[in-house]
Amino acid sequence: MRTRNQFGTRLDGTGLDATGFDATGFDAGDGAGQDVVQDTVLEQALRNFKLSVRAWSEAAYSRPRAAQMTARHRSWRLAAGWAMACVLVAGTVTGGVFERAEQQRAVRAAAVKAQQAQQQLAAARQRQLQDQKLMTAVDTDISQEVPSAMEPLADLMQDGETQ
Amino acid sequence: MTRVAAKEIAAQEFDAIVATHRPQIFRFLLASTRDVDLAETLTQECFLKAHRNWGRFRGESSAMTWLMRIAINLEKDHWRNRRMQFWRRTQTNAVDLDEASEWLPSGERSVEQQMLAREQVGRVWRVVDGLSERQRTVFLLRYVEEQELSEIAQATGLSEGTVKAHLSRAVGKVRAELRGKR
Repeated sequence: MRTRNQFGTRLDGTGLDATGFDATGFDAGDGAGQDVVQDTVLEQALRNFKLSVRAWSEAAYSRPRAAQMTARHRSWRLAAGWAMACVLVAGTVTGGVFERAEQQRAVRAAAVKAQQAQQQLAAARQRQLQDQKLMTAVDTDISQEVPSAMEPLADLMQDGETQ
Repeated sequence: MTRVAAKEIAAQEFDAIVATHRPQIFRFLLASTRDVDLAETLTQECFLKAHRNWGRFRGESSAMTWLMRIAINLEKDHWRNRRMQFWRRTQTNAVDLDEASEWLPSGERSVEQQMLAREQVGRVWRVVDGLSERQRTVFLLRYVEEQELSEIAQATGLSEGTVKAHLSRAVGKVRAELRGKR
């Protein structure tokens, strides 16, 4: 005899798949007594589940719609989205501008530093030249001067030269 | 028949389709998402899409199967988009499993029977929650919408064999849940 459960599924073992279940997964094997109890419980659970979903759906379907609230909710989300986008754009632009300004400042500082270094180098060179001149002058002066102990001899040399 | 009259008839036909199938599409989407607002939105989108393509519907399958196919694709798209928009995950309005299990028809049942039924429904919800997207769709179409395997196969674009395999696994999980915690 062909039997059907309340879901319209055959439970007589025809239409079995390779897993030993019928199309819906109900055991349709050798009919152990425990499986029959199992199937009854399973059937009952599935029926209760179906009734529960249908009851919930009917209640939700016939509830008064809150279109305005939804719209407000959506507009709030939209506004939040736009605000976030604006903040992101502003942040990106500000960051870019700041980085550019920072780069320019660094370039300017480097230029000033290079100029200062050049000036220092020129000043050092100038000082060196002055020192060299001074040393040359000192050397010349020293070579022309005669120690006081040698002065009579130097005078004699000068007299000899004049005579 | 004038063109205007033909349009009028098509519009009336579509109105009838909406009136007949809207609650069922909504129910399927509600069971799939557990989110009333989302189910309503997706139902609206489903019928909007159906309305746009109504002229192309050739009647190869039933209108219900055609609508269900649109609804399933919309749901898939929704979850795909949601995965991309990871920051919106926290904004879901889906009710939790316990709340979903609270719904039972007010029949002539004793308190004890109602508690038992509620417990069973909760267990089935837990299993449904853990199923893959495809298994869940097939399971709901079979045990909530009571569709035939051929209709499920058409709506999901799967072969009947694959539908059977998904159902078998899903029911096996429900059975294990009921057996394990009884």
